[in-house]
Amino acid sequence: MKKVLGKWTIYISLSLIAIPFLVMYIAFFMQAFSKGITLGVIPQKFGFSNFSFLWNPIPWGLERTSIWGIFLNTVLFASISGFVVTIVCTLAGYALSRLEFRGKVFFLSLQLMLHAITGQILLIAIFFLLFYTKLLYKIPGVALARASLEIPLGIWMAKGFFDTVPWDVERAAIMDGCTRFQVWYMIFLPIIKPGIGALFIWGFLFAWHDFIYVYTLLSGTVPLLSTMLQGLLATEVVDYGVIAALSFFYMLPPLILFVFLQKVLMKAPIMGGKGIA
Amino acid sequence: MKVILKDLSKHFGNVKAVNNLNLEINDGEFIALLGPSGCGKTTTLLTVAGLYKPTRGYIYFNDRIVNEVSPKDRKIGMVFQSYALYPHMTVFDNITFPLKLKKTPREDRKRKALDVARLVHIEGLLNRKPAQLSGGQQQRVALCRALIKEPEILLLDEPLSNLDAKLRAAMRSELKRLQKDLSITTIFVTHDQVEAMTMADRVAVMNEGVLQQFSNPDELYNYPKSLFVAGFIGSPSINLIDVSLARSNGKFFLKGKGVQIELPREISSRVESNSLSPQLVFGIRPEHITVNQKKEGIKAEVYVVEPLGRENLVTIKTSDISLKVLTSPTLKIGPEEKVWIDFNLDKIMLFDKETGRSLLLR
Repeated sequence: MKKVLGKWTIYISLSLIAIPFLVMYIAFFMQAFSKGITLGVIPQKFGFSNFSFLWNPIPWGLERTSIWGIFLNTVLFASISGFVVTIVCTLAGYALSRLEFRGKVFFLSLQLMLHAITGQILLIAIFFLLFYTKLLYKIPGVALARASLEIPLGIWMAKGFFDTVPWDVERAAIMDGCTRFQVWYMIFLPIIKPGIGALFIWGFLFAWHDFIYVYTLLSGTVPLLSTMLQGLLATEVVDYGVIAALSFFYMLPPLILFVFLQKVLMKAPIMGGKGIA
Repeated sequence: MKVILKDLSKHFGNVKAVNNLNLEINDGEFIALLGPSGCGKTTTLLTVAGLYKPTRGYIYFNDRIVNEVSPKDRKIGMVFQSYALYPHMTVFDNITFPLKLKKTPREDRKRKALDVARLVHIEGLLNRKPAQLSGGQQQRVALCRALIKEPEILLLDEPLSNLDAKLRAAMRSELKRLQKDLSITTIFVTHDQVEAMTMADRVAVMNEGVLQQFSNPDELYNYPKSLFVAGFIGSPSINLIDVSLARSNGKFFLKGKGVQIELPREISSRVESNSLSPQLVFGIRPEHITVNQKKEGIKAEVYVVEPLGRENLVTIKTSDISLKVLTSPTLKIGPEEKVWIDFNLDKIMLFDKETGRSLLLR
């Protein structure tokens, strides 16, 4: 009896904590999928009229912008960031995991320290850096800057993946005639494939939902989904239905990415020996 | 291919993993590197493979110094303890990976893969992934990958230690047969003395980076050069008793706690010329002690009897010394029973207590 009671108190208290979040999500979905709303959460009529931006251009001041161009910009921005993070981290992770060189420990601790610094305080410096390298207001340049924020921790993640591959596998590959680069490319990368997926998602996601970098270094010239949402809020008449619908559209790609990649992500790297596989 | 290690040393910082190793391995010979873990046997193997660079000394393949030759150009096939198969490739791709790197045409790869797969009976598994194989099968795949290169030297790093006892015994004889058929010079690393003794033509016993003895199994067992080898080889292990050498009336005696043994003349003369101090260690293998109830020899008491099937392993106590003795199961004795033991004096061993060196070998 006492046990059951204890269980129920846990359920009830957890439910109470969850209520605010649930209400927010419910309100969010209600707003996105209804024509009007009363009392914040009660929808008046279901419909997809809020999603009309998908087929009609959105009025944006005097111009009208298509959502798909902005969407592609965002995909490009996030993908470049994802690729840069993946490539830099898999190379650095291998070197830090397998090679001995001077300053290795210092380099690794430096990465942790760098990660502790928030990206915002680098903003002004990065602004000038991009300005002088003529990369300011350009997606590749800003994506590169955005990726650099995730690289320190990404390197640690990648090192962890490489550490799980037994030394004997590398030795076997070298005996079989691999060069160091071939070991990395033909043996390690396929083995740590799930880790590479995680690294890409890591770089992609942070760039996808980034606002401050995009707003400061791209905005005005190249709108992305995050700055566009903000633009809709900054008008005189705020249409919350459209904002909710656009937000829903904004969160779909990462969600889909997760659904498709979760199998890969959940699978821990497989080892080359008995019992570990 | 003949392999010669000359004054080979490998140090890691202050640790001398291999210290001044000299070894000559004949063409087609099967040798085992045997020793407790951390004795430097795997380091030696990896140095021969070229994965480690020797700190000092030389490795010769035939007459050529190969210190600077890269691992892939040494014509070596290697099997690792963990098999180290590539988990993302099929068995076929695993086996043919060395050939693929050499850009061998696919048809040749296929033919050679089938040839080696038949050797170890895994031709039916070529399309599987390593994770779908049992430990024994994985091990065969690893062996195939080593053999497909047609190596002149085969290096095996504890290849049987991950198999269950029955499979290990089967693989032992199969591997030995395969080595003889292919007559590839083979270096086999193991900590298991049974494996080393049963498979190898000669065994190199190592301890703390130093070679203790390099000889054939028979010599290793019956004429160990040092106390370490005597204690390490043999199961049940040898009986070792601290004794001192005493002389009276022209006869030599070994005196220990409660035992006194008169040495035969030829042994005593050799001991006298070899020994530096009177402190000795007397060694005798369990099968060279006879137990009788006819009151012949030294009086003792049975402590425990462990039946091994073919024979019984009996622990016997006399004063403060306990001895392991192998007896026939027909001898019915039980704990606390009084018995008499006798040493086969032709088979005794004597070592210098300080240096550990055998005193009976020239």
